[in-house]
Amino acid sequence: MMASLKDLFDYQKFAGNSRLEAMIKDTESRYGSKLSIDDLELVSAAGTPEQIQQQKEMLKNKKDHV
Amino acid sequence: MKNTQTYEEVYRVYYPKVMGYMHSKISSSYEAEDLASTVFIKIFEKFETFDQSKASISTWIYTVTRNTVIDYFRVRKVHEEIGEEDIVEDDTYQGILDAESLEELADALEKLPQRERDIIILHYYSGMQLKEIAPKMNMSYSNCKLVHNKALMRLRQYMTFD
Repeated sequence: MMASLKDLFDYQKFAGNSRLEAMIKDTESRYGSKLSIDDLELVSAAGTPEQIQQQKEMLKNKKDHV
Repeated sequence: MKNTQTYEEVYRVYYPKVMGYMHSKISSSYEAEDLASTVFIKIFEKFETFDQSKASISTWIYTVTRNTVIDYFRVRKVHEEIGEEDIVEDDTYQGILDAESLEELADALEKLPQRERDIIILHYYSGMQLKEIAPKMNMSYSNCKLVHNKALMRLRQYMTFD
């Protein structure tokens, strides 16, 4: 059963059922979601939210130029 | 029954879904787009021979997408980003994973008490360990395990699993 639940939630990431999406957003708005590697790198810089946004934009511009 | 949709229609409908899935698995936007392109090249190659009587097009594209992500991590040997149990390429989902099964899951989750639903979503969707979830929800780890087990028991009652 546990594998089936995992598979269903993985499929949700592709199919995007609107009812599930609403429940997921509700839960993650209260408890947060797992941080991506990019986010963790920015958190380690210990900046303010504005600084983090600036760094994200800088990284994006850097990638666009590559 | 052969495929009745055109490749352009399929691309228009499924590209956002494929990209959504890629972004949920891969942090680099550039690589996510690159992999999405790989998915559609694979789909294009087999599009003419795809038989809708054997599997829905949605399930087929999901399977190709998922397997492309598995290959990506396999090549880079970054198995931390995707569970070892996920490194199994197969297409056994055909006929099991569909819009109806997600509706059934939504029905079942709506019947759960909020705390149980939160644990199920954080663990199975967000990929958090119960040890990570417990402090977020101001619970002890053992209580979190207990609530998780209760939630699974209820879901077994509400849903049909193969």
